[in-house]
Amino acid sequence: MPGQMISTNAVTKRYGDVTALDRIDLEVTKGSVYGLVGPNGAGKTTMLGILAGLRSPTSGDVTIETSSVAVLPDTPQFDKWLTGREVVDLARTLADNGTPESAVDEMLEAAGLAADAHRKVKGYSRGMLQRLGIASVMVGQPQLLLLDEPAAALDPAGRKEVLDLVAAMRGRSTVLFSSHILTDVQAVSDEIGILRRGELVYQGSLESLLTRYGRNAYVVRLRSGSAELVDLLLAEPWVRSVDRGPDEKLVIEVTDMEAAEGGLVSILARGRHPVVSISPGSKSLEDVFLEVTA
Amino acid sequence: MTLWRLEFLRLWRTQRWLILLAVFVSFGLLGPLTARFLPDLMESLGEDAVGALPPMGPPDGITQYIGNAAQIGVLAVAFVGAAAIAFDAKLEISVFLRTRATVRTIVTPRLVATAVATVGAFVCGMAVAYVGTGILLEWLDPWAVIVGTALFGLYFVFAISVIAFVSGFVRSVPAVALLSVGLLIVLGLLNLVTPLAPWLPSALVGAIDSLIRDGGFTYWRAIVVTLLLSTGMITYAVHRLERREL
Repeated sequence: MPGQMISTNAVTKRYGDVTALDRIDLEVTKGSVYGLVGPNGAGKTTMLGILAGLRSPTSGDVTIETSSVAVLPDTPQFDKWLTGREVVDLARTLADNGTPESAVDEMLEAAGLAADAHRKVKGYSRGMLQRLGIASVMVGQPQLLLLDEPAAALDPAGRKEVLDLVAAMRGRSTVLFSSHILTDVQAVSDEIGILRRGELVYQGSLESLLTRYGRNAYVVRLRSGSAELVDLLLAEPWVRSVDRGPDEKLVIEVTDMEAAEGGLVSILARGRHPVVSISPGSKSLEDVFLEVTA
Repeated sequence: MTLWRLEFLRLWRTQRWLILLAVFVSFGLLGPLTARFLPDLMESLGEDAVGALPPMGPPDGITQYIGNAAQIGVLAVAFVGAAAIAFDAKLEISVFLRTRATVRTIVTPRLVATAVATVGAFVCGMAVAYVGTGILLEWLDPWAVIVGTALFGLYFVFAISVIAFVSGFVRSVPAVALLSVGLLIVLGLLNLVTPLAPWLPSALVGAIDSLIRDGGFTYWRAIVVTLLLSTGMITYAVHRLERREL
């Protein structure tokens, strides 16, 4: 059973009267990919800054089980007169852990920058700078990667490549990355933490989150007669609400999934409603996120 | 790629070494030329103009150079030095460095590279001024010039430590440069307080002028104070930078 790479105890950060983080207890398992999500201003960057040692908490404790940490800011920048290869080589040297020079070219290749390795950074696009940042944090094979919005500046293809790189680190390193792009979080995270106005409102696996918030509805499509069915459904004790959408679609929010499984079919059969489809109305992560952070 | 090579490349690729060299060497050329030809130039303007000009001798070739180095030269060093030493000016670059190396490790090559480039450019300018003075006016005592150059070089080290000190308080490059120049000017004004003057780093600036005019060596106090202040300011700057939140 792997232990924790990061654990924080009641970490609080205040800027004057503003509480940026409020008693955060973060637990990040060794070797996992942890997605820290939250709307703008939720405290993600502040949290990463504290974990990176760039900011001090006003109170609380931070325990990180390694000193081998690499940090990627949300908009990486480097001295413009260096080449991409020199940037990654500098990161390799500063990692000071005997990483061979050949790793520089391997990382540039993995980041899709092999062809531009000898170009000066001033000629790099924002997406290329992001990839260069990824290559420079990965080159020393750090045990902990802290990535602030690592794919935010990239096009869809670039995003996928970066997320694949992040996913490939699973097991070898622990990755904590912040993002507001929920599909990215969904694609690679083992665990997530949701920050809302400085509070950690959820922490755990994606599955638990979706089970807890997302699988409590059914979507029923009828050929006709959805209006009559609404009253019948609302009379059932396991129905919380019914939303009638276009095209005879009903979204039935239920309190008890087991009761709903049996009851729903029975009501539909009794009323001889012409059913087109019945499906669990699993909410997207975006719906859940909006609900949790509301 | 090490942090030392990074600083070498910073000087080389940004051509800051060339800026420093151009400033000091051009003043090195201008000093003896001024001392040699300004009286002739003034004479051509009439007797009144000649009367307004103090008489010029061979040491003035060096004095002119020192005067320019202490003003425009220090300004150039402040901007070149601030651009290297104020590494927190660009947050993302600072994050890259600070999460991989200690502040002391980051700052040391920057201070040394700036000091070497500055003193190197100043020495080149002085060599040009010395040779120019010798050719156009008269050869001066080389030992007086060497000792005086070393003392002015020490003053530049002090100026660079002032830049480091200021960068512990503010982040932007222009702010660090201008506040450093301001602080150096204020320290220079303390020279007007006669009992303090022999103790101040700014006493080192005028040392060469006195030495080449057969003045005695009275700079031990200024040397000690300069070394102590420089060490103290750099140590304090590192202490502040280590505690600065990004």
